[in-house]
Amino acid sequence: MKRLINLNVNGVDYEVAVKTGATLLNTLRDELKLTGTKKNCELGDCGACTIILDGKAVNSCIILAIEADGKKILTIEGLAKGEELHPIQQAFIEKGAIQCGYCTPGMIMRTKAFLDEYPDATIEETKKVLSGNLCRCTGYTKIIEAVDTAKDYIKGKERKKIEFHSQKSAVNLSVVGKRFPKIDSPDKSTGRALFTDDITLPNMIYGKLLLSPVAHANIKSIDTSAALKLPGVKAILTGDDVPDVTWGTSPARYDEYILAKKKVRFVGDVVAAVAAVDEETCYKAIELIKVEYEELPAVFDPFEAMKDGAPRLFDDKYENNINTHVDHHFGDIEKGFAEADHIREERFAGNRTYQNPMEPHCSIAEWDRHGRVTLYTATQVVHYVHHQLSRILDLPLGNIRVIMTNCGGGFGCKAATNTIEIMSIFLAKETGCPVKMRFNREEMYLFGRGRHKQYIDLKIGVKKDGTITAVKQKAVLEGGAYSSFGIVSTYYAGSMLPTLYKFDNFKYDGYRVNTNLPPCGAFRGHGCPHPRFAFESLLSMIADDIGMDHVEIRLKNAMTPEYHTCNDLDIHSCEFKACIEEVRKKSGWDKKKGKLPKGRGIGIGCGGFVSGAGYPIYRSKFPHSNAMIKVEEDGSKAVLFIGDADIGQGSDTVLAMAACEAMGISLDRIAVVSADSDLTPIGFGAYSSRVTLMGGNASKMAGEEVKKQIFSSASELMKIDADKLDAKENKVFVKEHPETFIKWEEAAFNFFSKRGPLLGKGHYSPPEGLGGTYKGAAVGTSPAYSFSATVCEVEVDMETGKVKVLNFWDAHDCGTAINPMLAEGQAEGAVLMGMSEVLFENEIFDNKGKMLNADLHNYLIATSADVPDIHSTLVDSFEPEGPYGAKEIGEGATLPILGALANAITDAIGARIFELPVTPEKVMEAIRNNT
Amino acid sequence: MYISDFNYLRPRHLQEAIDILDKSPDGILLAGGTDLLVEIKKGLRKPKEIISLTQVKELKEITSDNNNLYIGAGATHNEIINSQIVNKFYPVIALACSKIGSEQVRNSATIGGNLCTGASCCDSAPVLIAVGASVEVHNATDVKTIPLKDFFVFNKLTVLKKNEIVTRVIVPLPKSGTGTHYEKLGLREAASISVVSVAVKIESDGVKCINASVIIGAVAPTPRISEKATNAITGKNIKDILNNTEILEQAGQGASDDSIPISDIRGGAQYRRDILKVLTKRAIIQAIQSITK
Amino acid sequence: MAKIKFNINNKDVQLEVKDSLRLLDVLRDCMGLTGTKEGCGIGECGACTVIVNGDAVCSCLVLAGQLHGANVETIENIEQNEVLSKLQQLFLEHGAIQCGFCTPGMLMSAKALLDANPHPAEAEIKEALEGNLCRCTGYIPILNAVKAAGSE
Repeated sequence: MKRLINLNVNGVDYEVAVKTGATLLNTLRDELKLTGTKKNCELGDCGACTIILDGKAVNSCIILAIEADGKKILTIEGLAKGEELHPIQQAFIEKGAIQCGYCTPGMIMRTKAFLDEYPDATIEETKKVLSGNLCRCTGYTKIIEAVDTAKDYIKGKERKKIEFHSQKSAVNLSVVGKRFPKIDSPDKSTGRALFTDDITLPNMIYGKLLLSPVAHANIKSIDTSAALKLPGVKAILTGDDVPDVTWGTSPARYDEYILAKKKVRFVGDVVAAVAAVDEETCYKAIELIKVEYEELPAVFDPFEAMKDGAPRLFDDKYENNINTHVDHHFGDIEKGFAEADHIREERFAGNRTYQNPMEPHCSIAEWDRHGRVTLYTATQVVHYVHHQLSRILDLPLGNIRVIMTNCGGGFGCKAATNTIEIMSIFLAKETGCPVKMRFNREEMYLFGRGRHKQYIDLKIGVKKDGTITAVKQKAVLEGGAYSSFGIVSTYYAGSMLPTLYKFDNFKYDGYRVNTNLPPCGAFRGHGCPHPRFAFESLLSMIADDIGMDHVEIRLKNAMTPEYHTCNDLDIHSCEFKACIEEVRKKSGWDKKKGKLPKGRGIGIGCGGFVSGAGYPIYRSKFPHSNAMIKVEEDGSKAVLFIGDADIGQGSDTVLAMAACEAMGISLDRIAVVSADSDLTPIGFGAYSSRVTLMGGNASKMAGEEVKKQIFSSASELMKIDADKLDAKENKVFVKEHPETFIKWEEAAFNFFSKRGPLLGKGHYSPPEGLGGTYKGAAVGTSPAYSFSATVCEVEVDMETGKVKVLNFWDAHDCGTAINPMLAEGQAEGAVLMGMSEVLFENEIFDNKGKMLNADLHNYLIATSADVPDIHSTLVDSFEPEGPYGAKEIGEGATLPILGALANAITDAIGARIFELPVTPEKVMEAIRNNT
Repeated sequence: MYISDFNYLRPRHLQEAIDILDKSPDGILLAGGTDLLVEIKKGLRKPKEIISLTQVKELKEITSDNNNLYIGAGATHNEIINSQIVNKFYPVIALACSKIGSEQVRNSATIGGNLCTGASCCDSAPVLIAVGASVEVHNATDVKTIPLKDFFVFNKLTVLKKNEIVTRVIVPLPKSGTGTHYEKLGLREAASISVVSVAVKIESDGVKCINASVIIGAVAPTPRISEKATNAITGKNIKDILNNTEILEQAGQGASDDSIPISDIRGGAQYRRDILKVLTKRAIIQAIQSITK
Repeated sequence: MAKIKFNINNKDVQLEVKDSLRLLDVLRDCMGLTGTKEGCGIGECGACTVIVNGDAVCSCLVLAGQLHGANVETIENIEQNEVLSKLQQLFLEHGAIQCGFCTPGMLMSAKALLDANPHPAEAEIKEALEGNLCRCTGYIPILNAVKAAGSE
């Protein structure tokens, strides 16, 4: 029975009929269509749904709408006055405090209530107050800065000028190298930006999945009869109702069924899908489906799983549950160790972590009457989803349209097709209605695709002077039930080690092992962070053994430009040594190392990553990134159509800047349409840190094609040879006499009038023949590599084991930063995520394979209150293969963090922790064992 | 994750609430909702009738008289944190309340709700027990006062009967020479559940600790009085407690001995015992340092 | 507020709506059934035609309170399981759809007619559709489509 309530929302009186069980969040979003307030954890743990209720910031997901009867509500939509943004919104935009934008409305509302009450709040108070609003992109640093700035703006103070020194490679450029706010940030700051869950189509219904409650079982029977009788249920599909095809991420290991066929392999495996008039009915129907399971022995530990006689997940493949085995040997490992003066071997272990983007996966599928389906989805990889759906549905690409709306972060868990993308399509087909499906937070953890926990045996040999002579690594990756990206992860775990330090002799044994747990996949730094943690830890231990400084041993072996690694990877630009020197200087390393009191410590770690994979996941000869530019007939705006996806990292802005620089126009003269398979040419999307280099090159090339046509037109108007012209800042001018110019739009207008559409297209493929010829040589290849170094300083409570991180000094060789503010945002976000993984994060399962911390209340990620001071620097560098000299930063910046923090903790407590996460309990154990 | 419909009642006055509750066969009281609605959404509870207390003004009052501080059960944590009366007499109660959840949660969640949820890791209870607080409980025919130390039965279970409402928390005003402190270890800096917590109250005559109370949290099915720790410091000279590490050691060890922790995802039992020693010592020192001159 | 129970597209529903809402608003705003269009709001154009208890009516002129116990059928119900009805198919084949804004109302008027009178005379067709305005087609293809449907 519904109740009539009165709400005053943003100054407007509403009379709404609500169910007693309706939350305020759902009422705002579904009844009042105010979708700016975001739905995330639904349990009051994340703050994404923060609104101001009678002056107080509250989580609207755990307040009943009827409890708000008669109250005044302010939501993000009510903050701006018409087109005039609120000073908080202005500050968030300018300071780069918005990345994916999913936490932004809640964060801004929290800030509003806070500054209303405490207009002079300190930074420390800000960090504490915002701690109920989780953000996974920014590392909070720029948010805290924005709140500080907003205080001034509210008081009417002038905008402060930012002191900023351009990188050398960007000095003569007019758009690239500038700190422009992200072009999507105004919409994200006002709640106007649409995410998939914000879309409601006419006659749309909802879908949910029935997940297996047991880790390993045969399905004896499924009885849907009671569920089908529930009013409002439209369809229920089980394994028998969907095509008998397997799917996955790597073509060599398509081993997932659309819905379980006779067998489930982990708690969370998908058994059935329900469509109904609303989510509540779906949930109720799921409770009514009776599944009879015949439980099988399950295995959760990779070493147990590899033993003869262990329960097998697949009867017909992966002997001993070994899903992937890599056996690589470069140089001569025996000879290498024979040459060493000192050898040390240790075992390290990582942790099972989950990306936890703030936006839960969501998809909406709708079929038209020509057998063509449109899918709106939160994905990092529109065109991979497009390709995979074409396989699964047995439809040509042309009959499928995939649209990424705004994507609220991914970090790898949205880098491949997922179950709700597939099932929303099948349910829409079955019911004839558009179907929306959404994971809740628990379902996100169970769908998984997080970081593999790696067990690493690492052996390094060095000469007396610290020169590395040989590296031997064995990695066992606990993979979960299915393959996902796992083959690639296993190769990456070895192949990236030789890219940072020079050594000629390398042996790598990698095993990815299936267990009855949620599948693991690609998470920021794909496969590399745990080996890098092991390597950086062991390198510092060895430095101590031979009495060498930790910085010196790194400089001794550091990669240099134009180097061919032992595993046939080609390094071009490389300013790694500059990064190390920078953090040494900034952190005061020489004054601190070995001189800090007990409980205080400093450590260094390094890392780097590919700027895009040299070869795509599915084999094709298509260029990896493709761009089109269409200039309006009056020349007032260029529109960039690009297939790559802006998942918050800011690629729309970065690619637009590359295109603008190429065309000679300013950033306000461009609009971007991205990641829509109908509108944008194929782009492999946001993974392997590829977009800046590859999408950037494609956008630059398209821009240059436009510029060429602009010159031909201007040449007619100015009666001068086209090759004597140049374009910048919306002017076409004579190179020798810049004062002689015409407006850019005049040239564009003239072109269109005489020759029709002014278009440019561009594409990028990595250089041919990258990498060696051995099996798996493709993984690790890239047009360019990034390099980073980080020094971390910590304080450890020697009595409780609690670690407080004080500082990170990080320096990055990302080539030319196309937008330094966004590059810093990537670095800060990576630093905090790395710190969070080291200190807090771990998926924990009971002895039946059920995850015990599948929510944001128990799986802890860093809050604003945990943020240390982060001092990021971008060193001067230029990558010839990159657009304007640019390389990646998003993933590589994560890699140094684990080792740096682990080394700092070791320095503070005098003992080492070999397994992540470094919990206070482990710290105490290490301290105890050391004394 | 959903909330099924239920019968919803919203009394305006305490008496009305008590009457409704008395007549309702399976009514559940809703205060801030930050625990209850989460449990419903997770499918752990399916109430048929919910009686909302948010409009009951009497429950919101924070007052004092010559003997006691009275905190309405419906006061939110942030109302308590910002209350001048609470801060005048017992800043430690505000401190404990500030350790709960996030700002948004503290804006909704009430102290009555926190106590009645009865979680073993509850942040407000150790301090309130330490300072000798009671809860006032109403039913249709009766009003009674239950000392908070007798209120908790097991994790998520209290002595409260189905037809009873906690209306306010009654805290005797501190005697002069009283010092209090609350220590908590969470795994991150904010919005984290206690791994271990400890509250200490010390009453001194200027020289000696004449009365003490050490309450340990998250290390037993309920917040628990550590008799051993309390005894270790009671009657001791304040200066000795601060300077003689043996007394502090004894108190810490006593607290640890009195704990019966479990191992869970936040920490092992032995770790909890170890940390409890440390936090107890720290809380005692801080409590002594907070004694008003 | 009124609590109304009625049957829509073969499904019993119960809604609580303001008494002053028009059936058109109930369909479009409360139920998300936006197939029914609003052309004039005063019963002149027929774009909002739906079938109530077998009769074609302008949903802009029916109040929610009048719906209690009624059987309502909208454009969303004519096609079943992704298969167009014969009438829809004939509209397509005869080129009876141009901009498409009058189409849902036109189809509902025609359906009401054919349900009651499977083989109508041309004059009967014209009479049944006279309340449905169309600015694109000149009506001839529409009349032909309905005629074809009536001759089967």
